[in-house]
Amino acid sequence: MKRTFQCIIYSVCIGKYIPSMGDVARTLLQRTLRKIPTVKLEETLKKWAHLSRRQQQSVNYTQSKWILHENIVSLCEENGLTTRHVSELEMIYCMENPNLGTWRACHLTDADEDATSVELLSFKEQFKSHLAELIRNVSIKIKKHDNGSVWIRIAWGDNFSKPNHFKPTYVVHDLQTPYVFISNLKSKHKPLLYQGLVLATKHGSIKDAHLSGRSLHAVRDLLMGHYQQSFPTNHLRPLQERNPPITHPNIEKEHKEHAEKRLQVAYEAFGEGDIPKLETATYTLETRFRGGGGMDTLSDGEKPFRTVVQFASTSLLESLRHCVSSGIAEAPVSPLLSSITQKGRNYFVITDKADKGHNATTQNSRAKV
Amino acid sequence: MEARDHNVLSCLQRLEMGALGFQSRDPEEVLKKDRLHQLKCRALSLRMQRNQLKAQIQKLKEAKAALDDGITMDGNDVENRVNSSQLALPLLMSRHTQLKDMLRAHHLIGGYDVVEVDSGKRVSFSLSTAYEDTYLDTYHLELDLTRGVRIHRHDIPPFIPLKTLAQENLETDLPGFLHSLWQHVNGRASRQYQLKLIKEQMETVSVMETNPLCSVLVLMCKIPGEEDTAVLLSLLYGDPLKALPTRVTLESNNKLLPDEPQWKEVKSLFLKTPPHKVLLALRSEGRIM
Repeated sequence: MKRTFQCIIYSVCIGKYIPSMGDVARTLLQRTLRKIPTVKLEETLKKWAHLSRRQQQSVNYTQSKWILHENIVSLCEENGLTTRHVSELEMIYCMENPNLGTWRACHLTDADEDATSVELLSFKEQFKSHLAELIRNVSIKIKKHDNGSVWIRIAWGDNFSKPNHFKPTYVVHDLQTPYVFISNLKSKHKPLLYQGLVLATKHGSIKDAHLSGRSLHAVRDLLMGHYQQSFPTNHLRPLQERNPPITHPNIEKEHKEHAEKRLQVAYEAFGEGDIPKLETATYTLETRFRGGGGMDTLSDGEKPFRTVVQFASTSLLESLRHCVSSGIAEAPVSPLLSSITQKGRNYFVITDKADKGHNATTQNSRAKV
Repeated sequence: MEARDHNVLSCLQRLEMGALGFQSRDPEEVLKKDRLHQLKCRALSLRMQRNQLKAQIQKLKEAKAALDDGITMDGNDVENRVNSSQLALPLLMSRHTQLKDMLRAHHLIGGYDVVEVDSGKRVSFSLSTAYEDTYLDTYHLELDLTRGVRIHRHDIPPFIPLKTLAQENLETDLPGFLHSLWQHVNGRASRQYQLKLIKEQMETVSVMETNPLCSVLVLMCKIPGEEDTAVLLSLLYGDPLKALPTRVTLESNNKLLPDEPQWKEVKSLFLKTPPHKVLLALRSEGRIM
């Protein structure tokens, strides 16, 4: 407050009108600058293109962070930039580095006849108009990424308050595919966003795909199939590709064929080479306990024994693949595990065969790992 | 006259020297002789190589012809035992070429590589895409054959309408389903390959918009000569199976340009010929940069 007051007095004294950034814009700019690491700052500012070349060259990147940021803030004030411009900077940075917490995947179903002909301009118009109808005071920005996907940044407000730019929702969608990736969405805004997406992409409905992860690229690659999947072929793969080189000519591996078979099974279930980095897989079991072995207290045959099994790792699929190829897990791979890659989800609800749940994979409750 | 006599005399002198066996002292002559000798030796060695290769090719042809006729080389045959060691390699090579020809024929008639997995419970198909003599990506489809035909897993990209195709044909008409799926996938692969060719061969043409299914292509071309005149070409591929657009629109900041008859001709040309060829032709004619 004090600062704006001073600014106004200063400008009145001089008799010139210097447009000043609003508080929101300045705070947003400072927060965004703090998020961007200094090494990437120069190219991000260049891409943003809202500072003139002379201004960009005048920035000294070797100064301490606080001074550097103040410098940039003052340059932006010179240019009279608003919240709209600053949110563009944030969006540009996020598009290159989508470290925005957890990304959730959603699945669009019941495509209309002409869903495959939706193109960027019509999608933009439709989405903006539909969302604006549903709720007042939203700020929407849509940009196309180099790899073809469409990024949407939404700052939500409501009837009484302006859009909150500090907690925006990011949505990523590839046109003509049925997948949408969302991060930072509050549950009260969920139905509005879903409605807007469904109408803009000309589908009938949208549902949760039960896939979430911290890395957008991993989640997206898993659903779009951008990793190398292995299929059985008639061609004999050169064994040298797979096996490590022979360490010593006098050492012979007895179980060479078994090891190769296990490797093949592991590759078919989880993919070859670099596979998407998921962090967790969660199984909610609502099955009856059939343990046996004297655990009478736990076996109450009628009621389901509710458990949640969660696998966590820095790169879950790779660890599972290693489990199978080294023999720790039994081959053939349990469908509970291979469904992660096949169905592209990492949250499962398992019920008994007798009662078929809505989102369940019907399975015998004994897991084999 | 004296000069001519001089030349004739020097020539006669040289001939005499050569007949008597004296080396000519002129350094150029020496070099020429050496070079001639070298070339003669080289020609001899090349001729020998050529004869060897001809003999090898002949042997290969005979072996391949014998294989084609179904005659197998019998190891017990006395004559063959003598020649078998020499013929082993050409035999292998001829068998290799025969198999490659068969594989190519199999692909040409629209066959798919099929592998049986799990003793008949699952079947894996490979669909390979190609455009004008270039093989592009291969896609796979694994079908589960227990209790009716169902798709087990696949690596077909999500913008191909696999589910709708499966609902139509999968249970009833498997070859039909595979064919329609292959058409979709091949159409998309061909369009993507054409786009790649445009990007590689025409750097001055900028691609303004495209989409994963490659059903929309917007290109901007500059016209030489006049400044700031650009043509915006929008190619709409309405039919996902075909590699040719169904609608072409031309826009330009010079309002009169699209109405000129030559540009209307260009529009109709785009409907019949692949876009990269049209653009190359236009560039060679000098109509676009």
